[in-house]
Amino acid sequence: MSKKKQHNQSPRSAPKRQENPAPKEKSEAFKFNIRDFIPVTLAFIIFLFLWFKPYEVKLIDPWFDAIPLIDSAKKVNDPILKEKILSQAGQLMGEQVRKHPYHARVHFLYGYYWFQRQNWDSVIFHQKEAIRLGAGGTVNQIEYEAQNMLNSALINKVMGLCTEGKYNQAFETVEKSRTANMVNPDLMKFKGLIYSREGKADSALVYLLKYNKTNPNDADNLSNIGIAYAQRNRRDSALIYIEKALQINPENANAKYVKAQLAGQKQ
Amino acid sequence: MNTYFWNKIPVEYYFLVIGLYFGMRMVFVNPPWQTNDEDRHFYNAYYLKEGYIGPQQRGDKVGRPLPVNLVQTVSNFQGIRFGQNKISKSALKQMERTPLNPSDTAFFHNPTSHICSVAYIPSVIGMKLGALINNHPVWLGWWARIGALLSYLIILFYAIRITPVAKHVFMLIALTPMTLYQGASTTYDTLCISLSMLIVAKAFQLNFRENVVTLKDLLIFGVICLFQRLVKDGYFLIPFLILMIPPSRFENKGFYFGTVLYLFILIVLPTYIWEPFVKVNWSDIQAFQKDFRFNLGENLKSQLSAPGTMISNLIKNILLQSREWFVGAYGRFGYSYTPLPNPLVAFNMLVMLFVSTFDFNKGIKFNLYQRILILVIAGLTAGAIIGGFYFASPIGASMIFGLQGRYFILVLFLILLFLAGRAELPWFRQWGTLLLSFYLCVTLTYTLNFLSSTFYN
Repeated sequence: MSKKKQHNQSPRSAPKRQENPAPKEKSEAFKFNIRDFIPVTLAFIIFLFLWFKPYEVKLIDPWFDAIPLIDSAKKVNDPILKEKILSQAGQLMGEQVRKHPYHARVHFLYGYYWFQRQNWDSVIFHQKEAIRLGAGGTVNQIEYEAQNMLNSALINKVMGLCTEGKYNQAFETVEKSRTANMVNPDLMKFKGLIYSREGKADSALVYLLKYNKTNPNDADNLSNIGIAYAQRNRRDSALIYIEKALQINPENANAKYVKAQLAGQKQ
Repeated sequence: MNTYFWNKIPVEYYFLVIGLYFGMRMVFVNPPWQTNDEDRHFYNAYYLKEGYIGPQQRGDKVGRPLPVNLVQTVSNFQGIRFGQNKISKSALKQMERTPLNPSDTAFFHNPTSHICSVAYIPSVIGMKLGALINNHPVWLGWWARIGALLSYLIILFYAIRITPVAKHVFMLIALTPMTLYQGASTTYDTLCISLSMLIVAKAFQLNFRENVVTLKDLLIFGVICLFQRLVKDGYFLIPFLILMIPPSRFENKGFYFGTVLYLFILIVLPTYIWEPFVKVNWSDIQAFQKDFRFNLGENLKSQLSAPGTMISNLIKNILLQSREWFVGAYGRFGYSYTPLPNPLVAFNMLVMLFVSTFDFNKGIKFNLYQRILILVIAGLTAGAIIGGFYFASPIGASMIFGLQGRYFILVLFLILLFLAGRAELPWFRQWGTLLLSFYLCVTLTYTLNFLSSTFYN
């Protein structure tokens, strides 16, 4: 700002300043006074300290404390040691869920713990909670991860019940796994599977074909449709779906098996 | 001592030329809506352009109507993982031709639509004028950035012009890659950074000039502070720098105490000015992030129940994250996933310390009280940012969530001012401006090449 302008800003009667006198003549020579360099030296040392980190700091959110334990338990073969590590992880995670029942992520992680324990009911419960609390966010969405784990647990649970012949209980489990906030087409697939295992091929086809509309590239489902058609003695339809399944995944075991069986029937 | 011709050119002109050239290039090198949250800031600017002030609630959504083509074009540039993908320049050219179709609108959820519209005035002016030439969505984005950049350069040009001290520190901070990147984007940081630096310059001007501080000076200072407060939270302590002026330097002692009172009122004033425009029941609105629960009050209660752990966590966070914060303050682009190389950041810190130490001030120096005040405001601002983010993290979290280095740009600026003009180096007096300009040109050229090779193929 020019001096002229500065004068315009002040009323004529305004007293002149006493402190901070006007700039004096600049000095020509380099004046070295060690005291002048103390603050910048300190700033430099602090910067170096923070930049090179000559220290070790461990800091992690409490709900992530148990994750390294769970992951290490997966690699341990000794069942006693595995149980010990998982118990420790379970204690930590359980504490966090009790302390922070409102965090969807904590329920998700607790579900992950129960997944390693193969306690499918607990996995389903906590992933449902994670979806209930966490669905609908714009960033760091959790609901899709939670639903994937829920479905993995559900299929294990359902297959176990089917093997035991408890089909009604399997249906009940699938129904209870519904969440209000999300569409889960996998539930149709699971129902179809239960019907298929029960030998009710017509009912199975209704659900499996419905699921196929939303997920046409699911090789497992395509092979299940093939199996259901085979159960209905509709060999041609079965072969179409089996071929589709093998096109998507040439290594699909079910599809390969059914194809071999159908080929045998032809002979 | 020889006075070379380049020393006759005021520092602010060097700033303006470098800022204009590299800023304009940055507007176009930075892919559309790639700065942090720029998509949502752009929507806010667009609302204001259309005459909407404040958001509207519709069920569990908040926002305003936007042209469908605009939202679709913006979406094309979101969520790109630049480690694996790049933007094709020819595809961008093609996208520039997408029409706006301004009458085909729909209501879109924008959880940040509550931000005060004042922050977007320069971008709106840019869009309004630019739309006369080209109103296609991508171009509206460019115009908004150009408007923001010009306001950034004009405000800082004036700040550097009026500050009687540390002009080179002002220039250095204003032209670091990260600051210029923010300055050349549609975001509230553009005005936040420039107005905060203007407040500092104004406080220095009032302190070091010959005349006493009059009511008119205080009114101008107050208006700048009010704008800065309306634009963004977090830097409410910077206006307190005016307290570096002794009470005896005020035309009337009542002005001094009035100013102190006004500064305290200023902390809460924006809430009362802007809040009436935000008629939203937030408990009904879809949260932006839902995997954790965020509640300042509950987290405060949770953290204060174990004060020892809280203090230990805060210290550990600083020790653990500070290097990333340095990098973020110097250059972390896009959605904060693209940092400049560490050696460049470290070297720049050394340059900053050097420049601030030897920044010549024509014999004007801060006294001890003034230096302490600057340091205290820097420390408290850093504390407010760190503490604010710590308590705004998920309830019970140990790690500070979402705190980025760029939030510390103004803290770094204040620390450099605290160190400024400690020693005199005749050689630097003759060559400083020229060398600093050269250094900034080199680092900004590198940054532009870095951005271009990172974002485009």
